[in-house]
Amino acid sequence: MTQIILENVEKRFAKLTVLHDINLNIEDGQFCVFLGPSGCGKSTLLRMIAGIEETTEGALTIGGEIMNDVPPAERRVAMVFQNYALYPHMSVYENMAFGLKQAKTPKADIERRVNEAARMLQIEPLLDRRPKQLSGGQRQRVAIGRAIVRQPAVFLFDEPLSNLDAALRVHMRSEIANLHNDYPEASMIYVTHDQTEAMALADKIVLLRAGPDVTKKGALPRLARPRTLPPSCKPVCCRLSRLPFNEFPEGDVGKRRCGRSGYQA
Amino acid sequence: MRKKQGFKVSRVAIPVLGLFWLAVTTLPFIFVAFMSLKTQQETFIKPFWALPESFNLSNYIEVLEGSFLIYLRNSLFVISTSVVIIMLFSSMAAYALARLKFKFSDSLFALIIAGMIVPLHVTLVPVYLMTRSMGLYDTPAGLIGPYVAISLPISVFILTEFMRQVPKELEEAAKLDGCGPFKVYWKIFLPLSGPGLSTVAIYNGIMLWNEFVFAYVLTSSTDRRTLPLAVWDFQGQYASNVPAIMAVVTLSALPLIIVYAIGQEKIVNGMMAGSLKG
Ligand SMILES: Nc1ncnc2c1ncn2[C@@H]1O[C@H](COP(=O)(O)OP(=O)(O)O)[C@@H](O)[C@H]1O
Ligand SMILES: [Mg+2]
Repeated sequence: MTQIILENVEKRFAKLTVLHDINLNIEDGQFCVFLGPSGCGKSTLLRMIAGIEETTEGALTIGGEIMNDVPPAERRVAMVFQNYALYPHMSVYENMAFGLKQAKTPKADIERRVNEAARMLQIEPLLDRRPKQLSGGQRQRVAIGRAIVRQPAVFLFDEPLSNLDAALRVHMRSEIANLHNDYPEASMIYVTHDQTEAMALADKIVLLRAGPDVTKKGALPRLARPRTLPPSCKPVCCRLSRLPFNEFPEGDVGKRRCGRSGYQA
Repeated sequence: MRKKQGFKVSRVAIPVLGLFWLAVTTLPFIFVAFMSLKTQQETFIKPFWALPESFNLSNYIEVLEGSFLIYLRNSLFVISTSVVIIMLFSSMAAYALARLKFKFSDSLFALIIAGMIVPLHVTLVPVYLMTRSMGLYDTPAGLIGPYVAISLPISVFILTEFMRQVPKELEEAAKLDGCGPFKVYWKIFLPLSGPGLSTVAIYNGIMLWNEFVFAYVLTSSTDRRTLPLAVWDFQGQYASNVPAIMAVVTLSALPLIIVYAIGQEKIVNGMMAGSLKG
């Protein structure tokens, strides 16, 4: 019960339309990647699903329940931020336990879950440290740990690897893939502008692009439409990795290269 | 910051200026402290700047046997209560102004900051009348209201700037963890504003510890007054007993000096943090 459905979702900041006509279906336990150039609205879409950003129009459903007006903490989602957003004044343990404490989880339960997550992520020796005393990779693990302990229906990652060095990035990427295997029932949404990362992780890639009027006026990216490539669409994906991804002529992708109209506009 | 050209000059000038400033601030205090150790006769006979003849604490004993401790108790009560309330109110206001965007929040911020422009003494008469009509005249508690009020603008200003620096993602993470606006303030912004809060506490604590005019106008009896009035009252009591007055001055400053000696590092850090970000 972790299916995510977006229907005609639109996002405006005051008069600026950032996203519109978003129709998207992310199945139970699917690993979905939002791919697109910087500024095209990937983070905004993710934050709308998390409930940090309001949805201007349209309906957002998680696990069959309309979530538009449900507060973030009650959506059964957990998010890993690009800059980790660990609470600097709390120890690693407290960081991971914080959400559970707010939810009034019994103390023994909290302890068990945090320790379990720490063991899984191999951060047990770090539980007493402050985020400042950790390396980038360790912080990343703590951020993931903080998500795991909440046992969410949906994991949200916003460019989680972009602050890591290249070697570590590849390593953490495989750990995130493992996480997906360990929690097969949870859906995952992963934002990136790195095609390789998208290829390596995704069951499904949602391509977002900056709207046409950007290039014309040189203004901020205004429009973005997601296009879903079905997983069977491997040739396209391979092609994709070598092409600048916002230059597909509209409507071409699915038909020509995949041989069927397997995308949702 | 330093220009290459002025480098040599500044290498000399900065320490010299520093020493000069040290002299300006500490010499009067050293003078006061020495004076307080002299006997009354000494002050008449010996030159003004002469060192005290002996380490003579009789002035202190005399002062401490008087009502000094009552003034001290009142000061401690009024200042500590005021500072706690100031920290609480200004941090709540700062969080709201920095993060909860609501209608007119920017105008409200401007209005609060404009409070810094109002000359303090203009408010003296209305505050006096209000205090009387509220039945708080001549009580230490009556000082707390005005003290909090005069300290809020600068405190809100410092803390708002401080809280604007807290990354947005921390707030969002807290929301995902189930915190409402108040919890976000209490669990995230308040603890993270530590240096800003200590700046506010120190700045206002020192200012209020030395505050005279409001204390003078809003209280009248000895057992209700704060330390700055001790000197004033002792002046009447001891007439020309200058060393005794100096002992009062030294004793009044002592708590601040002790606090500084203990928390020196924190205080400097707090002020630096405030000055860099504010
Ligand atoms: N709070 C906001 N107010 C106004 N515009 C915003 C806000 N947040 C994001 N935007 C705009 O929305 C667009 C998409 O931003 P974002 O989702 O962060 O892009 P991405 O994550 O794909 O790089 C950008 O043009 C950005 O300027
Ligand atoms: Mg982004």
